[in-house]
Amino acid sequence: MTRDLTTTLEALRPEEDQLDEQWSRMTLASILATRVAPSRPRKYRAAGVAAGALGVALVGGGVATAAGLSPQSFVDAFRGWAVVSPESEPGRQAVDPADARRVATAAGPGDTVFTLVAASGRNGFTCVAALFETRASTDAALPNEFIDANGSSCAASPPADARFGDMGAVDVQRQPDVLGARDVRVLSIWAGPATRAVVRAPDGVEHPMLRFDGRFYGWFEGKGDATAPVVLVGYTADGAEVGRTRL
Amino acid sequence: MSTDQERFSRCWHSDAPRVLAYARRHVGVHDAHDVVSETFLVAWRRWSEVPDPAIAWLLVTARRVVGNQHRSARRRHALADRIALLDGVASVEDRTTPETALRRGEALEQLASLTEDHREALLLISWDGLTTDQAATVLGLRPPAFRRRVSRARAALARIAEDPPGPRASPPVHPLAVPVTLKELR
Repeated sequence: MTRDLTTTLEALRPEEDQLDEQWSRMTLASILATRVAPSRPRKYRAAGVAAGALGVALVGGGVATAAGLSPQSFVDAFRGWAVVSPESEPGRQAVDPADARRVATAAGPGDTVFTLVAASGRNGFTCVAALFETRASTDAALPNEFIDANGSSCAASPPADARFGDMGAVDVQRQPDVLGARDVRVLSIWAGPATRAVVRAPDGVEHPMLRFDGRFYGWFEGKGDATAPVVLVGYTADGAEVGRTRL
Repeated sequence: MSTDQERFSRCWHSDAPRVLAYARRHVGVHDAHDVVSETFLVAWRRWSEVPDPAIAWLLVTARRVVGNQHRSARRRHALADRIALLDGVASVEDRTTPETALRRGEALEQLASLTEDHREALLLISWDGLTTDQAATVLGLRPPAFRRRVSRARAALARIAEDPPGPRASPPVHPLAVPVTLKELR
């Protein structure tokens, strides 16, 4: 190899990756659905965040009431991540919610943003929360005006042999209070080999699911039936369908 | 669409494939898409800080995202897994005959046997197509220090070629996930 290192490395250079067009379009749209946080000099940042949070509490209160969202601290809401009970949960590691970061976002119902927030503890033990937050909330380092969409889950790692849609029953939780009378349901499934998935709602609208740490998280409105089912479809990186599940 | 959104979209289309290629050799094809989306999410949130061209900044961010992915760390732990990751992304053009396939396998094994610092220094240049300055930025080094690292990496590779690594290590056993709902705790 070292006889002509440059030539050998060049010969091994990967062919240029082509993004799956649908994944690219959906992911770009999901990212652009969030608001750009204005950058400020570091010395003003703390004051800016504090003022922003106050603005949410006072000005955003009306929005929060209408949307069913309420200002609260992410760290307070998920302080349970740091609580470990070795007897009842062997292997579980404490995770500090203050270390959390947004790992993926997509458009949520109404004017909300569907956000995954995650933090890792020792040994890679990771906690993930799926939230609906206001657009104003996306300006803050961590969500501060949100609804916990489906509880949170903590795991050491996903199973290596998980298949798309595994877990037997898809975990669907109804959130009738997310946006007033809107019937919003949230679900999470194992991703398996799928890199992209959509959930097709009874009204035909497709929502991209968010993938993180071997799972997909998504939401839809309404309740499917035999004539208009809710369908999950997963795709591999090259766009091939890898699985389809009716809820 | 605003000017920022247009600029960001152009950046996505030009650089996301390169970030994906970088991520694939560190975490594999499935998790690589997570790395790309998280990297660009960070970029969008900090768009006013992202330089033009953005590729070095994006790879610095991707490197941090990879570091936060616990599974990637585990995968890099075993030589066999590092070889598998490199094999999954390296060009297959050199696999057309048994002889070239063997040479390709040996080369990938030698690359995987390097320390991560050395391997990254070489591949940022030869695979990711970065300039010396850009690659130095990704690794948090000054260009002269980066050039010294590349030089040491080449020397290390020469030593490995003369004294190849032993039998491949067995892949690690992946523990099962233990999903825990925390609703009761809160």
